[in-house]
Amino acid sequence: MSAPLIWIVLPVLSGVILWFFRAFQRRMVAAGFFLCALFALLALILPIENVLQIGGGVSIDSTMSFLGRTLILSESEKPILFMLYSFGVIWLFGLFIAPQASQMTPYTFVILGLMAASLAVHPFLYAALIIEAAMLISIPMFVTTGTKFTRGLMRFLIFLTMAIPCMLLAGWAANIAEANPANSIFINRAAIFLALGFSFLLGVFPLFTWMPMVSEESNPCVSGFILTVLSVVVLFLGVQFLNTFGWLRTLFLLPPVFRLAGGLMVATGGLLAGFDRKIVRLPAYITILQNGLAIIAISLKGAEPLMLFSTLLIPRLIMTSVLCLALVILSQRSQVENGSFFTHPFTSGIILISIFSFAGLPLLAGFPPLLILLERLGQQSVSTIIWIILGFLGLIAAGIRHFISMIRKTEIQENCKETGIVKVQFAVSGLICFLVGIFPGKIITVAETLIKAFQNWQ
Amino acid sequence: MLIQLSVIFIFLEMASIMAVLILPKFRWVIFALGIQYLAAFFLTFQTLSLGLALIKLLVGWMITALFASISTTVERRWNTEKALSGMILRITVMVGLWIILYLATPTIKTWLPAPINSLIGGVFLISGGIIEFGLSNQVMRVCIGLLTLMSGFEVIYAVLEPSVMVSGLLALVNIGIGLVGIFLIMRLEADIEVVE
Repeated sequence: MSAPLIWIVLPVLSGVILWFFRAFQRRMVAAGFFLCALFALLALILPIENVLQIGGGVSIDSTMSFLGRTLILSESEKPILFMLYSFGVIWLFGLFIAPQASQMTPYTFVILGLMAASLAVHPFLYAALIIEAAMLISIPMFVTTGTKFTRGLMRFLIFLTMAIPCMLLAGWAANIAEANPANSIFINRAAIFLALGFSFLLGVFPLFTWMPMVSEESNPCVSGFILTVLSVVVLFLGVQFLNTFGWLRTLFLLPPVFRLAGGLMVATGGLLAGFDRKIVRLPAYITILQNGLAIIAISLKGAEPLMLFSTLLIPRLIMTSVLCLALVILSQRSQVENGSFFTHPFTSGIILISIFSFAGLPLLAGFPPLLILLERLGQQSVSTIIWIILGFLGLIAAGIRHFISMIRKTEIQENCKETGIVKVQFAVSGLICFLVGIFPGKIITVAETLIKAFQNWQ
Repeated sequence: MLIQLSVIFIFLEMASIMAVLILPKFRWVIFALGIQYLAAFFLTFQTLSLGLALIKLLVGWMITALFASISTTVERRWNTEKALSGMILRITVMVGLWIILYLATPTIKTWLPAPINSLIGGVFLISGGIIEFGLSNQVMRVCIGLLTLMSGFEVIYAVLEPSVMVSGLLALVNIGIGLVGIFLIMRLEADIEVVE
């Protein structure tokens, strides 16, 4: 028994098996929810490379060979696996109250399994190909959950495919540079190819156009899941790459370039959110903004950037899932958010809480990591703070704009109402958002365990 | 001998890229795509083993055959741009780009140390792919463009990293792009039929 078998092969197999039960939607979602919870739980309790006292002593190997390459999931990577599958659990729980997107359940498993594989594969350069495979598998998921127009999907496919050559060439240049550290030409080439590859995957300015399009054309649950999982895994891959190749981390141009790219992303994400009337595009803009913040966090000097990077991820994962779920419920209304406060008070409320949490308002989940980030940036790069303020002003403006739309009285009568489970879920989510904002200590502890896998960084 | 032959295959490749860009019948485009994969095979064969190069050719032809299987469905919506000006634009852009790339080859060679013929063949295919999906919103054109781009990249990457695993995964990605194209075409067609 090996760790890659448990967290990569079994989830992919589960997805394939669940695919045959698409006709039984609720049962499929329930089975998916419990299976995903099981994988998350196993990531929490199963020790890797240590003997388990079951049936005479069983040990879980960290390595699995596949076509001559190795997949390695060690003890230090377990928190990342837990985070990945916990995210799946939150998402699948949401499908109970948003049955329109229940067809995504089997795909969720295959995508999570492949994403775990992309983090585990050695050498690193194969990760890009595995991510592309996962995204190709996700396209039927978009279509089966109601995506009608394909312009956004086509652009999504183009940008992801364009990333592959860049990532593979980056891997090739990095290997040469590592073999010959004195040759700075290959170091620079690796950095440039890598920057291009990650720009396509993370939607760095101006390569983010596919994100709002995909968000608008598809079910918010599906687009939110793909945008978040893709961004988080690619960010972890970036950190892994920098952790492996120390010489790349010490390039003197890297921090200013990261800050500029991140700052531009935060500013454009926030401002576009402020100027766009369509609320369904909001998760895309928030993804751009959050990716920008994560890139800025990595650019900081010292040992703290990784801690900050992972602290930013946790509220993001929780609040994105809640926001997308709320958008699925609002999209059932003929006028989406117009006058929604009167028919869907809990749903509208949680959308506003999410927006303002992402905008870093005090007492909400997004506030503590943002406060630490701004504090550190104040010591290292004041100009980046201006970009961040610009972006956050845009996001706050978006929140106020949508709030005004929500409380505006409309003539059209909406027949749909919030169910009890929706009210409970959003009330609990709102409470969690406040609790994380008021008591951030626990989140910081979890964030510290997430970065155990990147020991070279210190 | 191989080097002289590869020049012929570069010209064959250019002709097939142009054919994919401008031909009005999807069946002819499929034929041109098949020729394009054959040219890419000969360019790859210079650096990779015959077995690996053959895999790339077989995968390419497999995708071409898959496209051929839905040609009647695609044909209905393929020829949307009948205007001569559109065709002239495509030819001008493509030829202009090839001239620029040919002149820039020495600079590209300093970045990617590959034999000059493989490099020219690869970048011409990549540029053809980018123009193909850059100038169209059609699902099939985008997929063919992406496949052309990947094919060009494989010609260059085969020189830099002749790995079996990468070749296998790239073949899988190519098949995936082809299948996604077919899936989207069939799904769109089904949606249109429901509306009608």
